[in-house]
Amino acid sequence: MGFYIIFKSKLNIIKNLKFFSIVPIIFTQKFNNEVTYIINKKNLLLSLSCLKLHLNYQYKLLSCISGIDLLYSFLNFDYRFSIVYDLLSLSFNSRLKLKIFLNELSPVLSSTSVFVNANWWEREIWDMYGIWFENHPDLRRILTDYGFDGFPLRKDFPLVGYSEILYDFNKKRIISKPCEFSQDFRFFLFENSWS
Amino acid sequence: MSFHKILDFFYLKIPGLNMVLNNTLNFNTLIKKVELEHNLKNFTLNFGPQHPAAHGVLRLVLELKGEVVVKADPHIGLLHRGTEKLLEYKTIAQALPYFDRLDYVSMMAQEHTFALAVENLVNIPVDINIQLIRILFCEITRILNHLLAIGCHAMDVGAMTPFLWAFEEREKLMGFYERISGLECMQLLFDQVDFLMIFQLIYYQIFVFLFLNFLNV
Repeated sequence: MGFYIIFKSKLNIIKNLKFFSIVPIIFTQKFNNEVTYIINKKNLLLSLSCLKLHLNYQYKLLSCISGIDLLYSFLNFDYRFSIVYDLLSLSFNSRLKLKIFLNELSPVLSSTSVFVNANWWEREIWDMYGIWFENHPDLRRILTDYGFDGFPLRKDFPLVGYSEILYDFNKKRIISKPCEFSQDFRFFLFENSWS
Repeated sequence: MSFHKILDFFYLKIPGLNMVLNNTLNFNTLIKKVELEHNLKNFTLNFGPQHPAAHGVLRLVLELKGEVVVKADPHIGLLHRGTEKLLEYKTIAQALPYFDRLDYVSMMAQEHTFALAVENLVNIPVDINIQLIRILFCEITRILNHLLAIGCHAMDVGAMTPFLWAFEEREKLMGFYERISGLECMQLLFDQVDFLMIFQLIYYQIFVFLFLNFLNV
């Protein structure tokens, strides 16, 4: 039985997913042998735990959680952000991605109860995109400066930021003040640099 | 003159005697004392951000119980340079140099990952020769990385000389880097491999041409 499971091909695993019967998948993307399932936000914890604990999947490693800001990507799209969960199954040598879409105001359930290392990934996503994770044990900023304001990886956050830090010789300490530039920042659209 | 005034006169201080004399010593106060002793907080120590034992800038807020670290809260963001945000405003070719600065001990490996990601994204087939060159240089990078790691670890432990030996060997390996890309530490190799092969061929031809000319003269 064990050998049978191990020698199954990757595609068979994907076909045999009991996952389909438990979790309704909205859409399946396949790009260069990388499979992505787009699922509903409500089913996230269920699907993660199913993929982790079921004998036929064993996606026991969460290699990455990444956030994407889709602000200028689509027109009239209901959702602003998407979060991608990269899973790795060591026993079947396969990788899988789960993708969810959400708004600025809608929180996600934290997946720390399923994967412990989700703690820091979710802290980073909260720091960079401002997506709130419910039931997270310790949701603080992780990478930006102490007392930082704003969410820097959002597409509407300017490259230079809002404030600058400098050493004030009169006060003999480091101060932060709003940015001042003699020339306005020239905003390049993504397509401009290719033309 | 009361009894404790006499004691004060002789500078005698017996703990708890005041409470006995004033009839305030009861069981509750005793319990409170015991609780106070148990509510003692652990010592909190700031490790870093600038500390010679932490390579680079890492701040740890450590909670100590005597000499034992009970809890550590790492503040890892001090080295974060917002590379992702910078790359939003750049082309793919412009983004490449950031990757060998991100991990300055295994530069080529970082560039390799980025190059692979981009090629996977855009579906570019890569020539086998270029793949071989990449792997060769990734392996050189690995040796460089391990030499640095072992040398630095030996120096942390207290041995100075192995560090110098390791860096001498690193210098020799960096020679290969310099030959192929003109830079010792920040290569930008993966951008230019195909150009380089052509360039080196031309270079070789020019050299042979000049050499033959020299012989003729």
